[in-house]
Amino acid sequence: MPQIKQVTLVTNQTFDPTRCRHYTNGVTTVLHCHHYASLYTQLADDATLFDGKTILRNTAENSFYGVLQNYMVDQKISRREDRVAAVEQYWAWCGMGELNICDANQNNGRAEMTSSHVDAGWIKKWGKRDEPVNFITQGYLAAAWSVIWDTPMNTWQATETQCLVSGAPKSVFTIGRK
Amino acid sequence: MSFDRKSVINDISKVGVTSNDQGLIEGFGVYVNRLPADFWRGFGENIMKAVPTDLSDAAWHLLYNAGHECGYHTGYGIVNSEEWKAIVQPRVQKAPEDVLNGAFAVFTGWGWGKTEIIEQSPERMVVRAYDYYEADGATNGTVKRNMAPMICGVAAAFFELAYGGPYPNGLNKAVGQQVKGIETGDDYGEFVVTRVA
Repeated sequence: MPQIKQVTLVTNQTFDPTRCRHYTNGVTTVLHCHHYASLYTQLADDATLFDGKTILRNTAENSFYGVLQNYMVDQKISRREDRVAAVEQYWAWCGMGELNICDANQNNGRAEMTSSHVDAGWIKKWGKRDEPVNFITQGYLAAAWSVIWDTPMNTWQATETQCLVSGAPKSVFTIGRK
Repeated sequence: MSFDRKSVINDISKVGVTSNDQGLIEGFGVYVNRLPADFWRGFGENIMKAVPTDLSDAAWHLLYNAGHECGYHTGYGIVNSEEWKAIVQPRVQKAPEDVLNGAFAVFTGWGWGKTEIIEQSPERMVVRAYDYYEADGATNGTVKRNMAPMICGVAAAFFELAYGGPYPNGLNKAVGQQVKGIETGDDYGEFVVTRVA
């Protein structure tokens, strides 16, 4: 029996003219460009002395866990398939690309992206490269699995095994317990 | 008549962006993302906490550079966009001064920081920020130095677009310095941009 994704992402967007801030579902939200995302990613990638890639992944996990967890609670989304749909839709709403969670079970999982802000931005700025660059989505998926399966943060890790930035037709992430 | 900054902020704050069917937002000549501010701020703070002390200035500069390049390329896209032509251009009476005022009004209307120029010339510009997300970490007690490299870098970039010569050759014709920060106890953030000889 195929899963039917029924939820539609709810985004309540407001602007506070006093503070000049934009909020999405109560969270301060900003627009940035692929130059910014690419340079932050490059900084994380270059920072081998103190494992910048893990810092970027963990920062993403920490930030998006709160966003996703609060969203599921506020919208009263409890079914796993609906949580999966919300996770996919939120990433597209952010402009981060088309995320397809192919398998979300409580021991591991798999996700794919056929378009990715980080990969497309990196290619536009610097061209292709052999190694993965989408540490932000890796952190996002770790957060997503915690929210989907009601586990604490820092339970999951996502590994990018195939990537658009290298010329593959899609990025592939495997998710497992740490 | 002075530049109508308030109207630009009000109008630009209403401009929406939408993802395409691939989950990407394209506009202003760049790919755009729309993420929680604490993600960007958190990464900068976590990098600064992790970096050895002797490399902290270099790390800050890399964060600054991200804002700088973002501001330069996206800023160019902004001042050539349909939104700019519709909202800002009709209010520009004196160039490049009002172009810069307009750029910071857009900066403010988009939620990067509540900023205004308090001094500008072809050699130097001073920008103040009265509310900005890069200062939010101060409430967590994690900020020990001025930590608004994004605003600082974008300020330098906007100055270069106004006074640095034709795009894209104006990059690195100016440098920005953050001299005050809400995150370190000041009433506002202050950023001084000077032309590079």
